[in-house]
Amino acid sequence: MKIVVLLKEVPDPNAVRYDPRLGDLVPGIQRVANEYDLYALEAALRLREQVGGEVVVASVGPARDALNRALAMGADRAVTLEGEALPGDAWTTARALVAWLQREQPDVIWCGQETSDSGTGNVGPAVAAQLDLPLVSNVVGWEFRDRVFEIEREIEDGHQFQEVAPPVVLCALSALPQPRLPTLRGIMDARRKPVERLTAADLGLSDDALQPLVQWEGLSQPVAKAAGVVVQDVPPDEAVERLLTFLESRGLLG
Amino acid sequence: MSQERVEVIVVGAGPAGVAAALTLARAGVEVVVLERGAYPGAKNVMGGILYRQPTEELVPGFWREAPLERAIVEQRYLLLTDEDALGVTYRTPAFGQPPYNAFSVLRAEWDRWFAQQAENAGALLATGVTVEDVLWEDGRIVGVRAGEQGELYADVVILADGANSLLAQKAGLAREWRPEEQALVAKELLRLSETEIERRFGVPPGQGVAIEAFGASTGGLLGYGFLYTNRDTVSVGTGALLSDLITHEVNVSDLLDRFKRHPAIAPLLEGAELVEYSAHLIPEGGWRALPTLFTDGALVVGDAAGFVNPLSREGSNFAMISGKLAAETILEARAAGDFSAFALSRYWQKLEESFILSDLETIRNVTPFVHQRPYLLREYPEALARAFQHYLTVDGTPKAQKYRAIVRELMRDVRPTRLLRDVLAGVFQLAR
Repeated sequence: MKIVVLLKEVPDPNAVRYDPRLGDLVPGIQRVANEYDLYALEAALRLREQVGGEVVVASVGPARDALNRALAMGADRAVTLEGEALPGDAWTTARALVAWLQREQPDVIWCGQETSDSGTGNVGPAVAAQLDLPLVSNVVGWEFRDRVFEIEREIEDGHQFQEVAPPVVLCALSALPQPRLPTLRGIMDARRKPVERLTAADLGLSDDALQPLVQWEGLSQPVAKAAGVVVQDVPPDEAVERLLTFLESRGLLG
Repeated sequence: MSQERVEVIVVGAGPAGVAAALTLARAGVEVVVLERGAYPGAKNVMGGILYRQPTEELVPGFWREAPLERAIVEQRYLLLTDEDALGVTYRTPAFGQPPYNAFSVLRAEWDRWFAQQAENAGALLATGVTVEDVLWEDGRIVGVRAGEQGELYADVVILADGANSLLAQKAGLAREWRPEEQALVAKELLRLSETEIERRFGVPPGQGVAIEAFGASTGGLLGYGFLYTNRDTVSVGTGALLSDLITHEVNVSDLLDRFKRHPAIAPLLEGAELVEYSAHLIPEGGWRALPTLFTDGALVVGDAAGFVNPLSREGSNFAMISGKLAAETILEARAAGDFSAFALSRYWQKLEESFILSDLETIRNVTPFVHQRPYLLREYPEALARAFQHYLTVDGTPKAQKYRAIVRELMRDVRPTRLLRDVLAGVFQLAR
């Protein structure tokens, strides 16, 4: 079975700081693998252990450290898709990935539910849509039996169980088993594994095809909210009275 | 299953380990650096001063491209009482010109850059690997074990795992440090704007100030407070001997709070926003606590070997140079095909020929010296501050009378015979 994992390098969430004067993140933050993506990779590695085959990790934009980590954890090979217009927005990222995925023809595409930097959660669904594949998001558990995935996914008010056969796109949450630590052997082996670098042109993508739909306006800090009114440690009648007074004073009672 | 092996394993991607890996990789040696943090610098703490000369021994001209904060052009030494401060300032524009003397750096950024140089030279850096023990075979060290992450074998292992090295202890090369052999440092990184730093410290862009403060900065305990200007942050911290902190039941973060509130320091930090808080152990045992620095198949470098000069706040240059010397020892051993303790003993000779062992020997009695004389950091600052206050106060007292009073007080508080004895003892210890 050919399994692809989509992996993005993001600024280390533990080190992210906003610089109000730059209107951007402070420069020089270490980049690390997006956490959900590592859960997706762990799932892919377990799937390969069960059914055999190959795990390929792919990143849009350079991601040397994150891909090295993925190879050290056990992925067989890595691909980076690079170009001036990349990574761009979720749309252009998905466009580039789809051009590459059409060549690879994987059976399963694992990705993280969303990334910790842009947090759109759009790339997985956009890839699925463009390839016309089924998508299961918010995956918190899975089994693969008789060539069918039995998937547990988290929804707003509970859990939902679905069955789906490959080819399929699966978006991982961190309730899945923890990503393994690379072994020393894995780290040494990773040096000998192939890392392929492809440009948009290699994939037959023109600049026009990679026009972003989203314009990036920069970052800003949310305005601090007022603390709000907290009513506690008072008898229920009085609490109700206070709430009514508050709502009335705001003209919210009609 | 076959053994996974490389020529050299370095445990720890701090300045010592990276310097060793860089030197080895440049010579074409297959070297792997195993770092427990998610990336180099993630676990490091340093006051933040990097000296140019020793660093250039490893990366010539580094200051043209490395992430440096400010060139240090001014050094202030302060003696603090609870309220007052007196001090000495040295400033020279020469330190602000290439090739410079020292820089303030942020360790997270500097360490990453330095490690990148080793990677560029061909070293393999593996992060997120916690080495738990060394591997033995026939009485010699042959590799490392990293728990469930497995084992890795090598001709030589360089132990660069930092203060109170667990590996050196497990390898039987060192004992656990005693409380009087280590200092605990608390440090904060505070954000100020670049222009505000330049205004408050009176420096042009790109240049900065280092302050070391003795006396009340540590409540009279053996140690000091420091303040270094970075580009748009200030590193401020206090450190004191762990044994003193324990005996006096003092918390080092309380010392830092008090230091930051001192009337001579507070205005420099006003309105600054806390970015980062860290604490770390600094080796202070020096000469007296030296571990076994080499054995069959292993060498100990940097903080793990206790290579720090607490008197001149030098640590990272000791670390880098010891890493380089360890690497050069390994290159000689490799040429001879012999990694026995006997072959690696050249490391000791190289350390002796460098400033490292000689500096450690010079200052070996400083800590006990100051420790036996607690009044140095308590009574002397008080007495001197009173004398200066007297001298500077204009109150209608005839000057001759004032001077006599000052001398009388100094004679009483400082006790010239004791002072003379201390000065002679001090000079004897340092200049022998």
